[in-house]
Amino acid sequence: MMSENHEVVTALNEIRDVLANQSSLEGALLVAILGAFAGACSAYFFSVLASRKQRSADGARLLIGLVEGLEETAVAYWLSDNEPATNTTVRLQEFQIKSHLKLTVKYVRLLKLTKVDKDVISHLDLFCSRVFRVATGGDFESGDRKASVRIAGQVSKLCIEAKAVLIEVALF
Amino acid sequence: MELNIGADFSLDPAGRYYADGPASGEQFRELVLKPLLEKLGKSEKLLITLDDGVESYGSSFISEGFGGIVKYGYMSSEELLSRLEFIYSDEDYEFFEGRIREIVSEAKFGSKEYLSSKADR
Repeated sequence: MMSENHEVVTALNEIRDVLANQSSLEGALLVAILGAFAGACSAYFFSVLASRKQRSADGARLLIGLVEGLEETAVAYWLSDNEPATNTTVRLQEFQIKSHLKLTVKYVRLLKLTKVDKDVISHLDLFCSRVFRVATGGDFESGDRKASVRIAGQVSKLCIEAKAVLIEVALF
Repeated sequence: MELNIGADFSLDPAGRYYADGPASGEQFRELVLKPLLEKLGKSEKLLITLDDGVESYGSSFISEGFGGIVKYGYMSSEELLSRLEFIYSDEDYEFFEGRIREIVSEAKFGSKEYLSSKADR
């Protein structure tokens, strides 16, 4: 009887040891899996964040090019009178100004999708609205249009301010 | 009532006055928009399609075409804005709707007497 009891106790102790070892093994495995999962999650979120930042930076660079094109054309347009001799050039400039503006509006809308800072977006929205009013207002598309240094200067100032905001997005 | 600018007026609306071309803001206002507004029923709205072939607008066209309705005292800005609804399938035209509403809101009712530019230009 004593011997049977001893054997049972010994067997139970062995089972306990095995279970104890198994549980520490499973625990270690669980910790390893959780650690790997956390690592994968953080790598994923980091890559999402990095790709968003990259997209914002790429979008900002494209917008800088567009704003420069708009500035160059609109300033040249407003620095010269509309003369019959230069009518073809003037018509081309008018098309280019409107196209650049429309593309700028589109790119600002797309830049919003990259979750760029809200202040940047509101600055760019305001820029689009102001530059549209200034560059295509007044005697825009008029045969009688006279050169206006004031309008050319305003367009340039607005474009420089927008570029300053965009450079920050592109670089940081 | 509906107005499709590209189909009913011009695919290339441009300029402010008659002398600026065949599809100016003044022409749009006097020959298209004003007559349609006058025909609207008491609570009827004018649905204006902005895209559908029209590539873009300039502020001078919008200012004369839409803002002129208020500037020349045909209708107050509040009433005009309540009578207009804009339609577009291209999201980018939301920008032009915004500029039209902005320009109409800022226009001063009856601030100028209308004299057709056909006579003086």
